[in-house]
Amino acid sequence: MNFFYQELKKLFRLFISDPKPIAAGLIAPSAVLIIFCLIFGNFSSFPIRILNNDSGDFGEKLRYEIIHQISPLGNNPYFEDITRQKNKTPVCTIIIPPNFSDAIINNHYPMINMDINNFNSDFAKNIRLYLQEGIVSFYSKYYFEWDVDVTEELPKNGQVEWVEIIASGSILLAAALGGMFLYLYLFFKEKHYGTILFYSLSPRAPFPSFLARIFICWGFAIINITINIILAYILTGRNFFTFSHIVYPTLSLVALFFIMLSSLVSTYSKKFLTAAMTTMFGCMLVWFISGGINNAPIDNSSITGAISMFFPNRYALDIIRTKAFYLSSDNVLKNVLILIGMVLIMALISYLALYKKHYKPITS
Amino acid sequence: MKRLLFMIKTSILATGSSLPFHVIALLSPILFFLVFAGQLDKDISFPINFNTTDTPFYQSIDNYRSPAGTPYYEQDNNCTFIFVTETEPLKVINNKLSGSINQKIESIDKNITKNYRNRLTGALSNFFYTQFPEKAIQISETSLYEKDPSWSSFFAASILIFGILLSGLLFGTLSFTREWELNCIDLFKLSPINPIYILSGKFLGSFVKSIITVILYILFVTLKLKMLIFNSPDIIGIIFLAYFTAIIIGMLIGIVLKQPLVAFITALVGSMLLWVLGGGFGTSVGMAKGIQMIININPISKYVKLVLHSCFNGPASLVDVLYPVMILIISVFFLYLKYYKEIYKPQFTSVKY
Repeated sequence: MNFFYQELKKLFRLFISDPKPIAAGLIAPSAVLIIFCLIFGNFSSFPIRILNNDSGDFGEKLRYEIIHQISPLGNNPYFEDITRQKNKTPVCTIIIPPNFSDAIINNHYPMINMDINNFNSDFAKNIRLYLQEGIVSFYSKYYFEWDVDVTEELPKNGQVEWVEIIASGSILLAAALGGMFLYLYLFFKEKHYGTILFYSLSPRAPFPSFLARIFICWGFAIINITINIILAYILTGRNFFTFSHIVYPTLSLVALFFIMLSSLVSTYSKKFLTAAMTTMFGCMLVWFISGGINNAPIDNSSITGAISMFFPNRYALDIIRTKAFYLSSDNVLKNVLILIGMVLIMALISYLALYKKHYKPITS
Repeated sequence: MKRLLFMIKTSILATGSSLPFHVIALLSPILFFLVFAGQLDKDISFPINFNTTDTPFYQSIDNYRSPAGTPYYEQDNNCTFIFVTETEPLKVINNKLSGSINQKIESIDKNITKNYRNRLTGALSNFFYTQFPEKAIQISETSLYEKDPSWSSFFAASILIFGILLSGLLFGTLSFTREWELNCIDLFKLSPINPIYILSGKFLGSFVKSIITVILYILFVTLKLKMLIFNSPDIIGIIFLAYFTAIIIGMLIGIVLKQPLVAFITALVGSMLLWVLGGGFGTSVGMAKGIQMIININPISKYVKLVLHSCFNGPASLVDVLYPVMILIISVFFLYLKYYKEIYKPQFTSVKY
C-alpha cells in the first residue's frame, strides 16, 4: 500500500509540474464540441427573397405559406423573408409571375421561378424540399383537389437536437483522450529521466506502480469529463449531471480501456510523439466510426462498423444515450458486461506487456 | 544557389525526425474527407422502408429525384428506424387526391425527423403533380452552379483547403521549431547570410513537402470519387497562393512558439478553426450572425470560394483573389520583421567583469 501511495505522490508531482497534458486532453474534445455547436447548434432560418408580381391573391398566400412553415429542428421557420433587406444574401430568390393566380384559377400550369444557390447537393436539396413544405401547405389550404392526410409517429419519450447527441459523444471523447494522453506523458517523462530503468532492478512486484498510473490517469479523465459536461450544458442546455450515476461509471470504463491501451502503445513505442500522435489520432477515428456524432444504427457488415465493435465507444454511447434521452433498450446490461470484459482483457494484456518489457528479470 | 539547395535538402531530410507530424499532415485531410463523405455516402438518397409497395404513390417514388437525377429515397427493407405506410392508399376520387399516409420515425434525432418529413412532403407534392399537372405549381429553376456538386465532391474540394492549411502551417512551423530544439538557431544568429536566403530555403523545403502532400490527397480523392474534380488549371494557382500564405504564417508561428508539440497543436486546432470559420462546410447562411461575420472576414472563405469556382464553376470575384494576396504580402512582411528582430539583428548583452 505504501508503494502505491509513494508512486501516486510521485506521479502527481510529475503531473502538476507541467500543464501540457492537461491542455492537450482538454482542447481536443472541447474544440470538437464547440465547432459542431457553431455549425449545427442553431438551426436558423434560410434567408430567402420572394418577389411577388402576381396580380391576384394567390401569390401573397403562397408567400405566406412558404415563410410560415416550421422546422422540427430548432422550431424555427424554414425560411426568413429578407426581400426588404438589401444587405443580406439570400439562399434563393423566388419570383412569382403576374399571371400566377390566373394560372391556378384556369388550371393552366401555374409556375414560379427560383434562383438557387446549389453549392452542394445536400444544401440545394434542403432549399427545394423546404419550399415544397410551403407549396403543399398552400395546396392543403386552397386546393379542392388536395385531401391527403399525413400522420407522424415519433418516439414516445420525445426527440433531441442533433447537438445534444454530439455533446454526449464529446463527453466520451474527453474521457478517452484525457486519461490516455496523461498516461503517455507520465510514462515517457519517466523514460526520459531514466527512472523507468530502476523498476526492473526492484525486487517488488510492479502491480502497485501500474495501478497508481492507472489511478491518476483515471482521476484526470474524471476531471476532463466533468469539464466537458459543464461545457455541454452551457452550449446545448443538456444536463448530463442528472445522469451522473450512469455517465461516470460508464465513462470510467471507457477511460480505463483507453488508458490501458495507451499503456500498451507506450510500452512498445520508443518516441513520445509517435505514441501520442498514433493514439490520439486513432482515438478520434474510432470515435467517429462508433457513432460519436450521430445516433444512427451502425452497420456491422461495413469495415468501419466491424472495427468499431472492438472498441468500447459504441457500447458506452448506447448506455448513456439510452438513459439520457429516455430510449428503450434491452441492451444496457449486455453493454455494461461487454465494457467490463473489454477493460479486464485490456488490463491483462497491457500489464503483461509492461511486465515483460520493463520488469521481467533478464538473465544473460 | 548551392546554399539554397542545401537548405531545401536539409528541410526534406529532417522529415524523419518528426515523422508522426508529417504522417498526420498527410492523413488528416484524407480522413476528414472519408468521415464527411461517409456521412452521406449515397449523397441525398435516404433509406426508407415502405410497408405498402403496390400502390401508385409508391411507384411514383421512382421518379422522385433532384434536378441532377439523384433519387431522394432508396427503398431499404432492412431499415429499422423509418416506416411509411399508406393507411388509406392515395388515389384520385371525384377529381380529388385522397388518402392517408403514416410515417413512423424511431430515431431520437430531430434532424432525422426534419429530413424525412421534408422528403415525404416532397414525394406527395411530386405525386400530386403526376395526377394534376395542369394544377400543380411547377418550379422553373435557375441555379448558381450548372449542376449540384455532390456532397462528397463538394467536401473533397473544400477539404483541399483544410489540407493545405494544416500541412502548410505545420511544415512551416516545424522548419523553425527543429532549429530551436537543436539549438541550431544560434548558428543563424551568427550567420551573416541575408535573411531572405534562409527564409527562402526554409520556405522552399516546406513547399516541396507540402506539394507532395497535396498531390497524394488529390490522387486519393480522384480514386475514391472515380472522377477528377481538380481539373482546371486555376487550381494550381490557388494551391500555390494558399500554400505560400500557410507556410509563411507557419514559419512565423515556429519562430514565436519554439516547441514542436505546442506548434503542432496550434497548427492542428488553428487550421481546423480557420477552415470551419472560413466556410469549410459551405455557405455561412443558416449560422449565427456573429459566425457569418467571422466567415466573411476570414481569408480562408475566399480560398474556399476560389476552389469551388475552379472545380464547379461557382461564383467568384476579383476581391476573392486580391484579399488573400494582400494577406500574403502582410504575412511576408511580418515574417521578415520577426526573423530580423528575433534572430538576425545583432543582439548585445552586457558582460559583467
